[in-house]
Amino acid sequence: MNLPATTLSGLQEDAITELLNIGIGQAAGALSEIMGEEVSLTIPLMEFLPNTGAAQGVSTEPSDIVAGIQQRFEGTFQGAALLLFQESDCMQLVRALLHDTVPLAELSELEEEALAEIGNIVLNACLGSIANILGSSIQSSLPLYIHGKFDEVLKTTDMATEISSLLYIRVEFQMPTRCIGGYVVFVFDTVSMIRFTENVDNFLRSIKPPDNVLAGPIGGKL
Amino acid sequence: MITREQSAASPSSTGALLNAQGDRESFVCVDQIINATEVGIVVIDSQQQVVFWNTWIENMSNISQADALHRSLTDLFPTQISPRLINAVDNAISNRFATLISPALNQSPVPIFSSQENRLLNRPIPQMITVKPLSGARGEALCLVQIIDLSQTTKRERVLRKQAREMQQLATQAKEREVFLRTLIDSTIDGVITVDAKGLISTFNPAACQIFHYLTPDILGQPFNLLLSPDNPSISAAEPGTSSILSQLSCNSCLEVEARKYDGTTFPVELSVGSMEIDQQPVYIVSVKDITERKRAEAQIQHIAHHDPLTSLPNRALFQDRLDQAIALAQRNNTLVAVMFLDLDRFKGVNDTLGHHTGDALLKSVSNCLLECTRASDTVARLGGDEFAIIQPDINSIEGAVKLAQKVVSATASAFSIDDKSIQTSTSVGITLFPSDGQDHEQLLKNADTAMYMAKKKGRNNFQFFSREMHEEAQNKLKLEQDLRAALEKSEFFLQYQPKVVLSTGRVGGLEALVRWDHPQRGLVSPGEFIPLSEESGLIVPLGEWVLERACRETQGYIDRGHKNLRVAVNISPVQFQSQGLVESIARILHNTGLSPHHLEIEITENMLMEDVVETARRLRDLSDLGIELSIDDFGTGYSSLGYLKSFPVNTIKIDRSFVKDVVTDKDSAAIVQSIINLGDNLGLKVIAEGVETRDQLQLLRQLGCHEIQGFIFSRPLPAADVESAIARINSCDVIEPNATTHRWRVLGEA
Repeated sequence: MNLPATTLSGLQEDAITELLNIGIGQAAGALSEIMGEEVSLTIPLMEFLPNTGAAQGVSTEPSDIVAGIQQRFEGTFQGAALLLFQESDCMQLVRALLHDTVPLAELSELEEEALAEIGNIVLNACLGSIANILGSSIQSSLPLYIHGKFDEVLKTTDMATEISSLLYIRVEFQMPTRCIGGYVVFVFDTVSMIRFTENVDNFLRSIKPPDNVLAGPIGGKL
Repeated sequence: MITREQSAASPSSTGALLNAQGDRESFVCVDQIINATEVGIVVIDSQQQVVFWNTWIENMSNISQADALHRSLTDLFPTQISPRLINAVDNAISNRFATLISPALNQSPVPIFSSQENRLLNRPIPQMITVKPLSGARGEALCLVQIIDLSQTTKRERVLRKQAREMQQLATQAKEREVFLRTLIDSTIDGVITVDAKGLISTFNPAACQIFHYLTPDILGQPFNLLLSPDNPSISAAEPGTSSILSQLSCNSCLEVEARKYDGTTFPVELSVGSMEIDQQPVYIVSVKDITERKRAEAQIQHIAHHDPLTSLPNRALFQDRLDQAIALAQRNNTLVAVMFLDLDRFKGVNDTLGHHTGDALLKSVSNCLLECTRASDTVARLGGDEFAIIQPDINSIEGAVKLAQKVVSATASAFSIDDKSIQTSTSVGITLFPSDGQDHEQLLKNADTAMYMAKKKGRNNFQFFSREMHEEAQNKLKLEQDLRAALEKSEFFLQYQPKVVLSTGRVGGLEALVRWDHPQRGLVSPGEFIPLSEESGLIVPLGEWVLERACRETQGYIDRGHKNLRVAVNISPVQFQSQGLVESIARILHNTGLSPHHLEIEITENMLMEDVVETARRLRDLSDLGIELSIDDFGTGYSSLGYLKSFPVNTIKIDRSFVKDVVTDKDSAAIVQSIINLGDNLGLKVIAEGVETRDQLQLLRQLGCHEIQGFIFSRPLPAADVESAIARINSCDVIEPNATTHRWRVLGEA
């Protein structure tokens, strides 16, 4: 199979970042409301990584324990969106959200639900932005708490064999007292990957100025 | 309960459910299922209106399906609906996104209640809400809202959190408690040390570091015994490295022991030990107090309580205590105690004319003077004012007390130099003796005080014994001693000789020289009286030399006049025997008088043999080497070891007169005499019997095998001038024949 792009052009990257920033901003608003304190979300980094090298994005080893939320989506393109953290960061985040003074050794059922809600807000916001702006039609499923070694977590998407690339989006949750970083990972199958980049290109064309000043294999920043 | 995985059906499976509406039976079945399920199921259309409201939500919300249909959620719950739920419904219909609203983060749960009570309290069911897009039969966008009761989960979690909170509180309390205790231990001024079951130190607080000069890391894990002086009797008994000492100590509330610092110096500490069990092992908690200062203060107080501040001499209280001890010692040893009560004569005059300062200085000088006069074992005390007292413990005779009293009177009668002034003083001394003058300290001191007043009456500057007889005896002894000193110079001593007859020949073989004192006033004084006195005063040495010299000279005279085989025996007293230069002195005398050594026989008592055996043997050998004969006097009364006897170079043993006296009448005495004679025969010694007075005694002694006889039966001790005629008379008699003894008796009677 033809693997069209394991890398994005600068222009594409900038475009996706822009799309996501809009959604992320909405998610931050929702989170602040839920938590009763200012939460801001930023995306300092975004990149496509090949499946084999993907682990490095979230954890140093494929066997490192990660925790987070997974949501399936389908429509114009289909796959899974994950919000992943290092296990300890995940706990910290949940406890910061719940203002919990008595941490248990593991996440409780209700804490898992709460984390699922957070993931749901963030992932829906990302998916919503992409769908709205790219004019795509995407349906999302309910969020699912996931926990385990990174490579095992990826397998729960049921797409591991088809994955060509993962889209890594670094997300930082900044709260008044701390900053916790995680990753939004989009897992596309190959067909969806192609459709996604096509949609991004279409979007770029729709807003590209007529004099074509930014044409080129690797464009400058918008 | 429906889990989220079950309810999170994909949009396509929801469609399949709705497609079954055509089949009536299936529809009834599905309808029943939906109404029977324990989950709230609400379907909302694109107009935000409720199109389905199941039985569960009817029951919980108290709103019937009929009332709910075609109304919006905002309409149904006007004030209590979460805007997030509204957004989620909107998102599901327009964006086809599923949303989850978790109970933990939901500030405005749907007002559904599990009981009327909760309804009144406005305490809605803890709930999870999922909102999912659905598609209607005609493809219109619908939204499925499921409300899941999480009461049980919430309750379970609340319990878990409560437990966790309690655990955390306990942990925090334990930690605070530990910090509290640690601070307490660290800030206490007592050393606190904990010791494990093996006797090893597990805690060592800063105060303990200060006390023992160890650093905590150095001492941890070391045996506790390291901190104790090995000289403690109770500690040396404990095995090293065990905590047995601590288990002993923990029975006592408090114990004073000698502890040991890092540098090895020992010091007194007070330990109190508590014990407890941790993991079924005993742990000892030792509290240590350095009591060096306290001990020092106690000693100081003790000293102040028992000493006179001016002179530092023992005060009356300590004096009484010492006197009680001395009395106890004297009772045990059957000895005497002398108590002297001293009063400075005319001290009041010194105080009045020269002032208290001078008076005090004089008292100090006198106290020093008294200390110089006394032995270390004596006690000099100041009873108050110008009164002093002395205890002289464990003395054997009155002489010791007399000497000390003389010394004290004469020493204190000399002038003391105080502040460049010479102060003449004197002392009156009263003396009592235990046991004759009192049985306890009170009586002895009171009587000594009385005696002291007698001394004052007698014109001061003297001493008086409390009892008259004692006083006279003391005075007599003093006088005699003075006379004894003069006697040598005045040639008041002379010798008498008693012949010794050899039984085998019937002839005089030797003489025993005996010293006599012709006192100008008292006449002849018994040697039993003046010999001990001369020994005490040291006069025995010059006297002994005089006796030897005289005996040798006179004997040489007899030899020169024809008595060729005559040997003279001279008694040597113990003091003389032990005096330096005895052997040289005898050699010189022999040389000066020209007497051949084998004409001299030295007599020592049996008891002298056994004192300092090595030195005695050496002296005897030296004398023997000179060629002098050696004889043991009073044999049978002492406890001489026969083994030693063999090793001494002795020539003669002299049977004690006490055995000779009863030899005829008492079988035991006869047996002893026989034994001594046999012993002499076996050891090759000559055996002499002295004090032989009767014919029966002589006869029996001869039968028993005695070699020589000395006694009145032949001759009394004779003046030097009468010796030769006595020898001639004895030699002319035949003593071998038994019947000849009658004749001799008659001869002696005539003499």
